Amino acid sequence: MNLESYEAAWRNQAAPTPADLARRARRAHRGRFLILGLATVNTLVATGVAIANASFSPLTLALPLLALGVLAILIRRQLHLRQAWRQSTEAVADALHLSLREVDQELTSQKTLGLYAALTVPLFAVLLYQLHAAGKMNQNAVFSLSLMLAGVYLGNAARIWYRRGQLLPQRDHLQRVIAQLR
Amino acid sequence: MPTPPRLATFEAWLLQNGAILHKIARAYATPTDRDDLHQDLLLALWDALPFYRAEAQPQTFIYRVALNRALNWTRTRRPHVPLPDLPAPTRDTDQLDQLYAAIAQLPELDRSLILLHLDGLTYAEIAQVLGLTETNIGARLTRLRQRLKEMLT
Repeated sequence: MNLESYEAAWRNQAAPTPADLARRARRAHRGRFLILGLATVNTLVATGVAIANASFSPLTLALPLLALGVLAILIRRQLHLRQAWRQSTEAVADALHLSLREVDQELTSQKTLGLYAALTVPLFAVLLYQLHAAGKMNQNAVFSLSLMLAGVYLGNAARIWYRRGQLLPQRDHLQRVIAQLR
Repeated sequence: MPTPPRLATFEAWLLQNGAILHKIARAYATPTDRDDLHQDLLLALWDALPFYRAEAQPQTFIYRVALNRALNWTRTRRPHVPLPDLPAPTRDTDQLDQLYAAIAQLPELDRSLILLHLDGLTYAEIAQVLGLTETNIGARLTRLRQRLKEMLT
């Protein structure tokens, strides 16, 4: 069999069932919007009830804060999606370059965060030592604060290390695909 | 004329060009991941639909969106061990399976190029989708077709 017969087989392929595809897409979107809609309505109703009863419990304050948090997440996600959409509608070569730039930018920001931590750790150590030497902090307070700071820094370091582990193979992959453009 | 609603356009596009998404999913994903990628491509198309401007053919736009998403998908996925597919016993399907298997062995960008060529896009349209020059595409396709011939014989 020659390549032409393979090409003919390809072009004779029957179209997929479009009704099923459309139905699946509709269902996925309907589910997502239903969950978001219900959460928003629930929050608004609960806030309204709490305000009407003039019961200023921590819950009354927490609910609008929660709604604001959800709003912030949605806006952030929307902005990210806009960027993703822009990439997805570019020509493939341009989109690949945009993706590589995005990955490089994130790697740079991770590196900056790491450097910032490397600079601030000795600063905090000196600061704690000085406070203790001046009698402003007792041994227990120094120990507690050091433990808390160590936890925060270790958490950040783990996050940076994990993210770099994800980004570096992506950068290599993108560079490899972009090299195919030449 | 009023702009057609998003869903109506989406459905019309899927009716006319739905096979494109299947082909791309098959070329870029292993049989186990194919449905995931296909869903992803559908969502990408839905998301990108408001950004469609009529200066390009819908087919070209769909290819752009789907290929970008497929390439993006391959970079964020860990490689999986492909499972054997179960082909239906028809002559055309056998040929297609062999062709897809050959395409899957090509580098990512060459896969896009051969998919576009097999779907009968002109060099100008391929250039529009991939962002390469027509001369470059011509040269690459000659090389690619030769390579495919060797792989399939």
